Amino acid sequence: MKKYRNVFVIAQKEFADNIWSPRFAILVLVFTTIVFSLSYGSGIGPEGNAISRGYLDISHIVSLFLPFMGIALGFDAITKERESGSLNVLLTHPIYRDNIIAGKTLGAMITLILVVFISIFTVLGTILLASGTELSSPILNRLVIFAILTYLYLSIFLSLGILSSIVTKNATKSLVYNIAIWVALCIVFGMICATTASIITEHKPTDLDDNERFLGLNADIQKLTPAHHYAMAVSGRPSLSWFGVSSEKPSVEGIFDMEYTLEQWWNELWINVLILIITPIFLVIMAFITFLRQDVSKDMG
Amino acid sequence: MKNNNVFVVAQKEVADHLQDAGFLVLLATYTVIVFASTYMYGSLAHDDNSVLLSSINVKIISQFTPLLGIALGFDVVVREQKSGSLNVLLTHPLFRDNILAGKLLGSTLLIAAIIVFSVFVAVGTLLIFYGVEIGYMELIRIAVFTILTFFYAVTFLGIAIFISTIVKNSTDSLISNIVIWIFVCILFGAILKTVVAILTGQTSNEGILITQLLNISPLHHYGEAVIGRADLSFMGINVEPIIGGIFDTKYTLTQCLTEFWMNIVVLIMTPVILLIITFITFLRKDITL
Repeated sequence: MKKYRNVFVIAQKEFADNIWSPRFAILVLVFTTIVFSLSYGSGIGPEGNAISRGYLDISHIVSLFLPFMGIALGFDAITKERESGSLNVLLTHPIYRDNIIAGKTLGAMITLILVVFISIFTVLGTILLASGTELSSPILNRLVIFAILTYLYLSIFLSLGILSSIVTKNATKSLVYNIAIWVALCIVFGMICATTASIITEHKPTDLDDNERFLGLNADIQKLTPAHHYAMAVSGRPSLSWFGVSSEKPSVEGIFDMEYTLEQWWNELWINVLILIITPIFLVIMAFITFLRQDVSKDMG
Repeated sequence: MKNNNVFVVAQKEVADHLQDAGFLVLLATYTVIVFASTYMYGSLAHDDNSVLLSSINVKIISQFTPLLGIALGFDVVVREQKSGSLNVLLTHPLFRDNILAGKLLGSTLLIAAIIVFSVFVAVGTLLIFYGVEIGYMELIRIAVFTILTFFYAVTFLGIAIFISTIVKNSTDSLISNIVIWIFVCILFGAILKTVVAILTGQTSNEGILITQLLNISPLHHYGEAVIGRADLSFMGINVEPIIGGIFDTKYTLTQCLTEFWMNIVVLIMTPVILLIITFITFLRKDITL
């Protein structure tokens, strides 16, 4: 255990840095406001199961905009230290490079848990207050799984941020690239892949006759974005992004479909969950490998 | 000849942006968004009087154009200050207002060029893929639309430059700008609905309070002027318009402009006010590292 103490010290420092930075406070405040106002809207909506309806609305917002939160936590993890010169100083101490990156990743991941829990509890509290529905244990189970899925989804973007903070020269560049990736993959990916599929198959998106080839290609391209796998696991819809074309819906409509048991949900959608688990691990490994052999001088040589 | 310095700074600013990989990546993303959204939207059936005008996806353009203003403006001042070049620059016979004016001029010209280019992309997509007819009337309205979009984008450029003069580093500036963008352009309507529902208990769309509060957002004025919609944000307020802005060909352009002159004045005045505030802030700012 003593061997890994360095990692925990760095993780603790990273966590503290994140929590006390004004940027983090502003982001959490803004996203809580957004999540609160949307769940209030579904809480006072028409009769029915307010909790599952509310969480479906929220999963839409989460899949589109919360990745920015993950990016904001990760994009300057390494560049910050390199630009200020503290990475060099740190490495003159008896500490290995992999300890640093492991500590940084761990610290950021712990901060992310906090973010996910703040937003999930805000939603739950708002819906319960606004609609007065009762909470039952099957719903609670599903909420926990929803929280875990959301966490996995956001951690993909967190690890993407860390990876880009290693390969880019400064924090601004890293953030700009991450924002471009986020907008392209989460917000507008639906319409980009529908357009691509439509041009390749020469089939207009609104033409409903004989469109298997178009829909098939569209569904294949959609699998490239993590937002698709999150959307499938949570709401059973292939695309939550704007102007997306959805086809081949699974019979289980996501985690909040109470007509199916969790086991049926798992059997139907386990591939999507698996991809959500593997992608961040893969990205973190990439970040490790890149960082271990990297030039850490101030301007990267 | 007195203003020669301004043009030199402006020229440098444009050249800097065009060689910056980050800006080019964002520009490419924006162009793809304009193209894909026009392509998808154009394939829907439009029964309006002008197929071309009703097929332009104003909603997506209004939500993503601010990104360009942000990309151009978020590190204008803070970049020079951080690298120390602002200090060196000011040892030359050059006034502070020259620097800011030059930078503004450069970014504004670049934005104008990009807006014209993206309107070409949108119209070109419709012409090539759907064979839509284009006439004299449509051309004029598209020109007015381009000008309005330009002012709308410059509003966000103004916000970005203002933030870049008051923050300490460019990543903070970019993050605050993105937060403002998400807040104002994307989720403003949804948040406003909740605020009004909590304050008054009304859930209808057409309360007086909600219409008044919408006036804060530049998106509202842009939406009103172009297609007559009070709110273009995501999950926002949906009110059927009586006059569909300058894209409504049932009315002449003069009628539309008289109807929406307030919105147009706000669209023009907001960037001017923001730029004046930026000038005042910058002229008295401590620019040490």
